[in-house]
Amino acid sequence: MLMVMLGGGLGAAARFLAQEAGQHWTKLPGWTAILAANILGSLLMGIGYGWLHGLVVLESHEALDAIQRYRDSQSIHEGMALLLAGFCGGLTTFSTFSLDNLFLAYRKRGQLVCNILGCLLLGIIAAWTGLFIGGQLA
Amino acid sequence: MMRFLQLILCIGFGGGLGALSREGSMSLLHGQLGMPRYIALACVNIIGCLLIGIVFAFLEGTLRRDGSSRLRDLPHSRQLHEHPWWPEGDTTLSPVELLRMNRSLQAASALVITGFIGSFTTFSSFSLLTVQQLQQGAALEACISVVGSISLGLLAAWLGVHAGCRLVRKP
Repeated sequence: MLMVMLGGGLGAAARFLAQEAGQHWTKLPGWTAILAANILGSLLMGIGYGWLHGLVVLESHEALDAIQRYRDSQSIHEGMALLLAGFCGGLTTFSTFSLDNLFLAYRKRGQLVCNILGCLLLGIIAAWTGLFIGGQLA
Repeated sequence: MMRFLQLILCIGFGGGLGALSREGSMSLLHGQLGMPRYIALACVNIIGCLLIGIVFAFLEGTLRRDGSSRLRDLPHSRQLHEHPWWPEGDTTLSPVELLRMNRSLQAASALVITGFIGSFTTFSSFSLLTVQQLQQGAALEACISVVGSISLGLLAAWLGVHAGCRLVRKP
């Protein structure tokens, strides 16, 4: 429980720092920081999950089962699984993404399409790449 | 600098609580009620979108740039059609930036919006689940998950913003 909280707190703080950095050092609109955080989080989740998945032979292949299994186990990887679920979950966000989409839908339709397609496609590609890298690591 | 550290602490604390509630909700919906994982995750994300709409409209909708209320003196029907309270400039900056003229609202938005709700919802598990659904050939499920999450999330945020406006409306 503590590990999930720790990971979530660190992830949320990292997401906020990305937003701040994006605003102070670039002239990109605010939603691009969330887009970057979502893609990076998806990549990390893929790597971590692929790595944990590679360490154990699972009977079922349902997504996130490796994390679930390590979460219930007493092994040293339990903490890793919890930290991963907390940190990646905290770094990425769906609510801010939707709120940004709502505002973009009123004012900037082109950026709305960029945001949705970018997040979806790049997020999926990032998770897929991460799974591949994580599988190689294990 | 102290102010920045305080905000980071607020966000970290809220984020920890948010991640914990997400795990709790997921184990309730997926583990106890037996929903498929992608539906449980979509439920969590959509609830978060509703909440962020309510809280954001509630905090931001009450303010003018000088810190005084904007919503209270307008009839509700005009508020949303003309968006008189919409943040000026870039509307997708973090609420912490948009609310910087009022320190207590800024801290509240850091704790609740960026921290708690931002961490409660997640995109990483969503994209991982989608990849695995695609790898297993469950394209229909992946489509339901993607289209449903995004459209219902947008709808929930819109509903939340309306509800948040009603909360600050003068009776």
